[in-house]
Amino acid sequence: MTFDYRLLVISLIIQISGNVMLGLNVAASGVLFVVASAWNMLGSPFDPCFGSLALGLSPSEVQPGQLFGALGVVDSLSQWFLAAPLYAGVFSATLAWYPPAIFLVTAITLTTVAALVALLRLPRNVSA
Amino acid sequence: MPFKVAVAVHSVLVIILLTILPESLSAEVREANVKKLAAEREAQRASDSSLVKRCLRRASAPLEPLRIFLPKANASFVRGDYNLTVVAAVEFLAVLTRVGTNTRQLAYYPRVSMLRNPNMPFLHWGGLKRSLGRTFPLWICVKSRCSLVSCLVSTSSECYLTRSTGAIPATDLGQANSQQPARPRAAVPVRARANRADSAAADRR
Repeated sequence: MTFDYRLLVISLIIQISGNVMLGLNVAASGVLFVVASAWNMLGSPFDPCFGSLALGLSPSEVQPGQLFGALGVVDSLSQWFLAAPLYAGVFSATLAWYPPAIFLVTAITLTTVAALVALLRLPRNVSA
Repeated sequence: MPFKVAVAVHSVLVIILLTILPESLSAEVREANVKKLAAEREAQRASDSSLVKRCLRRASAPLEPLRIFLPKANASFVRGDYNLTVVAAVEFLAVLTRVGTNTRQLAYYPRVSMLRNPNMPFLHWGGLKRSLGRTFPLWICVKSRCSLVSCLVSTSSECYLTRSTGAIPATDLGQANSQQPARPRAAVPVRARANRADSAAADRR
């Protein structure tokens, strides 16, 4: 579980830095955009690590199906009810004066995620 | 064409799901879950005296699974176990950023200077529309390769660590569901843990 946690943190750092790079691309450089978005994708292990960590942190009375089903509900709520209007609203509001602002918003959100991840308390006797 | 490819890939996925992937729960655990759920529903029906209560319960049924995220009193933690609450919050925000980033990258893509620069050779081959067609797959390929490499490295390291530390006994997979063919242990560590949890739950019962 410690490995999951460390990999999660590394993935978050990669994603935050990638989004900051994209967000600070004032000149709209194509090369920087491709490099930063590719770097961003190197943070992909976030999802599998997070699933594994969530399973490890769940108490014994919670079955894996229950946990992932509940996470699926959270996914749907976030993805379909909030993500689309929020990001579309921010993007359309900032498009005229600073188009990459949306990536800075993403970086800020991911920093909040990192702060929340820091609040997780791992059991002490688990190694991998 | 891309849509046809997507349909083909998803069809293969359905076949794999139906034929190769085993059930995550053993038959005994599934049967026990069905009985438990039926008993819970019966008890709820008996307790719902009024129509309003019944309607409210039915309306809030989709949110019922979220109850597991509520903080619980735990002997190991002084202020209660908030881990799953934090997990839910992280998932909520992570999905938010994932959806936002990918769609916004696609929306932002035509604005980068690589495409707006008139000196770029591909713009002379057929205008902006055609250049989009030429560079877009390249960009997607670069992104997907990076994602693939990072996921392969991380999952294989996790499998190696899980095996070397002995976190999962070698015979654990396949025991939980004896009717299904056993999968290689290193393939999906999350599923292995799930099976282990199921076995433990069955043992407790």
